[in-house]
Amino acid sequence: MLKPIIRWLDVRTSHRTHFSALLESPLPGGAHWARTFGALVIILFAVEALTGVGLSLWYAPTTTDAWASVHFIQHQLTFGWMLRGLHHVTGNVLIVVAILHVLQALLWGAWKAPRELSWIVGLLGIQALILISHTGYLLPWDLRSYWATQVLVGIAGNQPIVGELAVRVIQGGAEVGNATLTHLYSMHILLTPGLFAGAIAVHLWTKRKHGELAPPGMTAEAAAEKAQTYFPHQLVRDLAAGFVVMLGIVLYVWRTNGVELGAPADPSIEYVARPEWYFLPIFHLRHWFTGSAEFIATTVIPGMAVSFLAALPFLYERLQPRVKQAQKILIGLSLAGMAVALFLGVSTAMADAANVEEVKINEKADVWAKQAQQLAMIGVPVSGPLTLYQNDPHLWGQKVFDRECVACHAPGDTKPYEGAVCLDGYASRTWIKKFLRAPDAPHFFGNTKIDEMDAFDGDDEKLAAIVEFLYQQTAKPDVDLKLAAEGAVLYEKEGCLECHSLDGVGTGIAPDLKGWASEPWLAAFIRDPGHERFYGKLNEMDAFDAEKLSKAELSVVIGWLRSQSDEKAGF
Amino acid sequence: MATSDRRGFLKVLAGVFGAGITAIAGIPLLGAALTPLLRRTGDNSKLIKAVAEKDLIVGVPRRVELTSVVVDGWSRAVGVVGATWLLKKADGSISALSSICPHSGCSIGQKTKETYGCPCHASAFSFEGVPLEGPSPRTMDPLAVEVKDGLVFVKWERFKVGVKERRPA
Repeated sequence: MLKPIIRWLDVRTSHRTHFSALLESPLPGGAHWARTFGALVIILFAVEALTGVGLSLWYAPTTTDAWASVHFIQHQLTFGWMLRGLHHVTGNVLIVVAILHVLQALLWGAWKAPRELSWIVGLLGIQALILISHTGYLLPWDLRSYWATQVLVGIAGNQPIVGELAVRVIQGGAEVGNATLTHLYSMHILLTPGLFAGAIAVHLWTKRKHGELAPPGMTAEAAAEKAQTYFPHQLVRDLAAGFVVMLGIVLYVWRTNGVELGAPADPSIEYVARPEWYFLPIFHLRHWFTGSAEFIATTVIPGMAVSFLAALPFLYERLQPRVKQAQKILIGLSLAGMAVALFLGVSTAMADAANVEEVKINEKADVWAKQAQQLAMIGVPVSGPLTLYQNDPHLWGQKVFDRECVACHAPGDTKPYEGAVCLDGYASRTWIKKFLRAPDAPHFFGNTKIDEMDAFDGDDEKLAAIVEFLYQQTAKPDVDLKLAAEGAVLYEKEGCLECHSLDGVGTGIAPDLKGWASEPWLAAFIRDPGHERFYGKLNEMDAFDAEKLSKAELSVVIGWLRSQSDEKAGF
Repeated sequence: MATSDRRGFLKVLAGVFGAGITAIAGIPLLGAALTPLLRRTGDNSKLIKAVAEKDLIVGVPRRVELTSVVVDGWSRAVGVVGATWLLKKADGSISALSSICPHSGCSIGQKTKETYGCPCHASAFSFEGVPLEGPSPRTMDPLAVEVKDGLVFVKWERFKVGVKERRPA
């Protein structure tokens, strides 16, 4: 069935001849596990392409949607967490394998003529790989991504001559934002993988022309005698290595539940940003070269290192006639350079892990990350993940309170307390009780113009009844009606009514307490605290009109105020 | 014979490993791509407040946009879910018809004083939703109506277009 089609194709392409030439090409010294690195790079790259296609079906590269869409991939898609975990971990393993492949080529002397081009293109390929990986690192738009982007933009901007121009092109706008993310996404899925694929193509082409090397130390006769064809001897090793590595990655992702998505990018949250592991040596160098010398750490030194490796074949050609051990010396120097880079990277990582302050800052961000992930389960507001708190009225109310109110109404544990009436535990029985016993305390009217209210000095039973009556005004559900009724009588008898009217009945000197701290009472109060019904001339609080506080914000902040518990009034 | 056996075995082994790698990357890819087939991702059919009852005039149809919290993929917003034609009859009852044309999903407007019409293929419908001219395969889709505290609520639903039998999309 298939055979005629293949034959038809072969007449037009002679692909069979080409394929068999590839598959039957002899490997001097035979199949070898050390030869699998190159194939592994291709296999892992293919896995990245496949998983990347899956991710790109659901990812949206805008500042409002990036985090939300990655969250959707992670938590709503079937196997989405695995897809993303595979893509992330395989990408990192790919860089490790590519570096091992370079090491192996270095030790085998595969960089010597006539394979210089293959060697140099391989080194360029590693840089393309790092670009792919780093542009990908920025896409989830969580705190890590955001700060890493800021750092990257800063570094790029400090390069001499082209730096600022490059940043303007990549950033695409006045700030790191929508254009930046879309540019990075395009680079991640088109430009940089294209460069890498191109490097692989040239690499394979030159390999095809010059054939494979025998393992080091093997004589030409022995290598010829042991020679095997690529197919199936080496191919089965390549695929076995690929399978084992992928199996390991799957198990790792399985055990760790994939890669965690951090808290959404937020310029106002403190975070210890670190680049991916392969940049740690450069990160370390930046401590030594600061200011205008920074490009020495970020460009000159890494550039010199790569240039040295690229120049190996030519240095060898020059040295070899005069120096007997030229190859060993060059390899030794290269290894020493790599060891220094490894040391710089590892020492940075260890110093970070040991820095308690840094760990604490990021733990705080992690708590918010978990909360954000929970909130996002019902969908992220179109205004972006920074308004995720709107998915939870209580949290939203607290945000509004923190933004608009806390400047005057300070937290109860502030020392010394110099704010307006403390609203921690507001309208709980404990709060009312404390207030009635000492209205002039710093947490109540102590720091305000109001000093006319007398402390209640009756016995505890009477106090409890009045407290219950006031508590009844809040319209919360758990009122002791009998006790409240007693309180209603005492309200007049104990003299409250002399100042505090009740539903318009009374002198109106002090706020009318009918429906005190209920939703409508609070809404009216917050909109206009200076109204005669409330503080009148004694008022010091700003009025919060619809421009300062939207209807929705008013409603959630009232909800937050009414949710205060007895325990909170522990000041 | 022995070497060709070994060769055959290696070929099979290579196939197994290759298939294993493909499966590891391919299964999550398929899972993500086919999630919409495996699970309903987002459903916006629900009872939505449309208009105050007193704002409807007997015999005069009124087009009302239905606004509600819409979950769209990963995001969530207050937005227009759809639109409905409301008509108060002489007996005070209220009927609601989806503004989506059952033919190919265009938006139905009012054509004349007595008819609705769809601009895409020149369909015309009576105010009861019965097709009078044009290619519509069925009557306009009725939506459930509830009146509570003087407010008209409409249960928004989408139906499959282009077929004679009415069924949810």
